[in-house]
Amino acid sequence: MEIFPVTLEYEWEQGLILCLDEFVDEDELLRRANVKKGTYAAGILSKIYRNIFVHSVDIKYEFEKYYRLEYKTFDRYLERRLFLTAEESASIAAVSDKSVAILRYKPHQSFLSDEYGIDFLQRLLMPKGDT
Amino acid sequence: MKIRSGFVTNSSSTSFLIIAKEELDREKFFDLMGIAPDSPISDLFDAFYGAVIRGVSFQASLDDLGDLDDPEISFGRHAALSDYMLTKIKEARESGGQILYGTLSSEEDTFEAFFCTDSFEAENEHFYFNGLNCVW
Repeated sequence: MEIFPVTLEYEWEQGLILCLDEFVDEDELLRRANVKKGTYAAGILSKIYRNIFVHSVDIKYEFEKYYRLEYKTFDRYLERRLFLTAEESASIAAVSDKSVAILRYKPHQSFLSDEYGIDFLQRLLMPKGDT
Repeated sequence: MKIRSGFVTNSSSTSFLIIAKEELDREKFFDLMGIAPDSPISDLFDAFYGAVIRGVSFQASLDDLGDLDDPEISFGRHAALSDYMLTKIKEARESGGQILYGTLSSEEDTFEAFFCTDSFEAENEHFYFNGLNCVW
């Protein structure tokens, strides 16, 4: 799984592009985090889960369904429609084939900002068996 | 004096109240929060635990609180308790224990800032933690 920090389109805030190797359901997320259901910790993770898997846009799916004809390539779509830099677009496009989804995600929890946030999400979303 | 660059906002602080039937330590705090000590995200709650311990400004045995029907109970400052909290304290008093009052600040670090601005309560058979915003 790859995570790329980016500046969101029209918004002067940092977001993340999550290139997922697999889909994770909420129960699995709690199991990976070793968190008990119905607790405060589970509530925090539940919100993060919904922000990622329910409210984030899958830009790979959107490109394939709506924009492939217009933009031809995924990196061109990323650069011209989502205003990512050429370097960001190339890096994300390079892993798109092996990604089941590529999510444009805006973290809502303050502790998910910066490098710690990327590390935190990698610990949560890393496929089973990876260290 | 602090100098901050980038997005500038107001500081926040919030109070919390813990009713503890036994001594609170890291393991028991984690159990109350619902996270295993060896969780891959334990560092987040380690930071929260540290903030709570640092933030405690008043600690007393429930037996030493005096008349709980007094409309204002002092925790080092006057704080009016809701009927809900008074009931919980009275119930806890029957089995002994202590009360811890403290504050969290958004100025310390991003972890404490998150928990400071979040609104929650957590309870198990040994502890009750009220971190609700301005409702007690």
